[in-house]
Amino acid sequence: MRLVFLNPSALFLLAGITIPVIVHLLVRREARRRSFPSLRFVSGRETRAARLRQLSDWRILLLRAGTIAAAVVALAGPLLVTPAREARWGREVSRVVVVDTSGSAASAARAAAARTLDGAKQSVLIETRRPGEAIDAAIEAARRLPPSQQELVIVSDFQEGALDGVAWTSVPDHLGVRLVRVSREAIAGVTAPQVPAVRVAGDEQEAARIARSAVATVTGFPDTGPANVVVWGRNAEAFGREVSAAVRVQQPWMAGVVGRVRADPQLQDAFRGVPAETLGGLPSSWTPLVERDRSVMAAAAQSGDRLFVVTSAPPETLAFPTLLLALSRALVDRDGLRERLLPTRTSADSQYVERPSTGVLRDSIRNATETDSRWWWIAAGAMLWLEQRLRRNRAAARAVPAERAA
Amino acid sequence: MFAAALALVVSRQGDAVGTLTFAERPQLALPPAAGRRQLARVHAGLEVTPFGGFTDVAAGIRRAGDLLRTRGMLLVLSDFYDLSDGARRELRRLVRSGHDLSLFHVVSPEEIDPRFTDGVDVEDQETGELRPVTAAENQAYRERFAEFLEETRRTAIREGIDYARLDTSVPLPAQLRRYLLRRAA
Repeated sequence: MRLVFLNPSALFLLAGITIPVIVHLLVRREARRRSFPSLRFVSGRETRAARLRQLSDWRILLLRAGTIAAAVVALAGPLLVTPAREARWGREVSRVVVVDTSGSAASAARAAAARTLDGAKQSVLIETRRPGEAIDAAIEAARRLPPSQQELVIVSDFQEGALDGVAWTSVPDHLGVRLVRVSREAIAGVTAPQVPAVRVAGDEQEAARIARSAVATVTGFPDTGPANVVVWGRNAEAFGREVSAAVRVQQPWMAGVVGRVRADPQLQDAFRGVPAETLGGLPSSWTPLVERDRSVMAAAAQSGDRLFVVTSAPPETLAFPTLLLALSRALVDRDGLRERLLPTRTSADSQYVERPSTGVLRDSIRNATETDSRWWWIAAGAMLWLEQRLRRNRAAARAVPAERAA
Repeated sequence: MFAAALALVVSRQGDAVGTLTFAERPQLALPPAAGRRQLARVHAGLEVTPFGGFTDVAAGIRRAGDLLRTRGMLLVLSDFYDLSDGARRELRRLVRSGHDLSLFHVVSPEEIDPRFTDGVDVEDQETGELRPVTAAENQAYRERFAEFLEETRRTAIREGIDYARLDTSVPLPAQLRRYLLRRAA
């Protein structure tokens, strides 16, 4: 638990605490007078100069200084970071949404972007024709997001080159990345894919059937409700076993999909006998999906609760472009996966990356929209009230001898 | 008021009454005389007498003694802040001349217990002098003032002078009655 200030420059106003002291000294230059019969027995050893250095009522002076201090602290935007508050921030999500408005994807992308705003504590929408060039601006915008889980969402149809030039290593670690693809069928004027989409939501046998046929519909995936994996296959005859899996990697059950695919005997046949060098140095834990010429078309790997599918297939051949090929390099060391998830794009063939936010960035607390200023205002008001009460009491006490003198 | 009441009592008894008011110098001086007109003059004179300023008690007593051509009573009302050696000598001279003297020491409660507070300048009503005080002064002041009262009383008794204290917070009739009863005894 600690206290932070959202507007710390206001703390310079604390110098105003000296104002009551100065006022006190100035006011004391003119003491009240009291007529008295004779000074014969009044020693009056205290000089006026000495009185100026005295505090006639240190309690009032303290209260005045305290009032100013509390008001200054209130202006500085105090925020007490409690465990409960941090936990709440951890449950909230803020997003920077980069919307690709290029070409025919614009309206569908805007609609998809609008959906991403639901449930967000705060969102920043950036519309651009070149999403790849807007990432730096998005990162800058994310620095101004309030404390919460923070995501960078890119909504696009991800045509080839859409994210060219993105320096993924510049994306801060805490910033989650999610790519939302606007499907081509959602884009007016674009013909739907030849192979119908298959919603995977079944048991292992059904998943295996999907892998074999690439045409299936399964519902009721255990424990998770409706599934969210879409498996596309353009043409079974042309691609043989080609399957490209697109996943929303935040779903733990996705990890099982790869295992099921790998367990599929037909898939095993597909890459049996493929020389290691053909696999392009992919680690053995990867499941390569190969074309007939045995060139690697795609690869999938499981790491923890994540499923990654990498493909080098041209986007137009796959209804759902998946992970960046470069992501595979980051996955080599799977133990440090979360920390090393930033891919460096090296191929223009595929692009898709997704990772969750790693938590609330401490620096983002300065962007908090809430403060505890009101409590400090209340404290300032209470001290002011107490100061006025003390002054009234002192004035009343002084009035007694004055009346007696009269 | 107390002087006016005393004048009334004396005049009602058929005695001559006069008055002298003094500050730095003697002011109003009415030699003793009998009669209602004299009483009216005394009262009028007391009524217009200004108060305040420095007082020369010795000069006042000397002038009052001059007004007494025969032996009589001299009642002196004062705060006696200026009861100097000269004033004592004048008192002693009048007593030896056969006059009956009474000193009425006028004291206000504020003088006995001033209750000074911090941050106040007290102004001398006689001289206009300002002096800063604090609440810490109260105890020493009370002790010094009590000593002054006692010293004045001892001086009066030593010189064979009747002494009475007039407290301005006590109703004057009660104090006058007490004085007269004491004198009658």
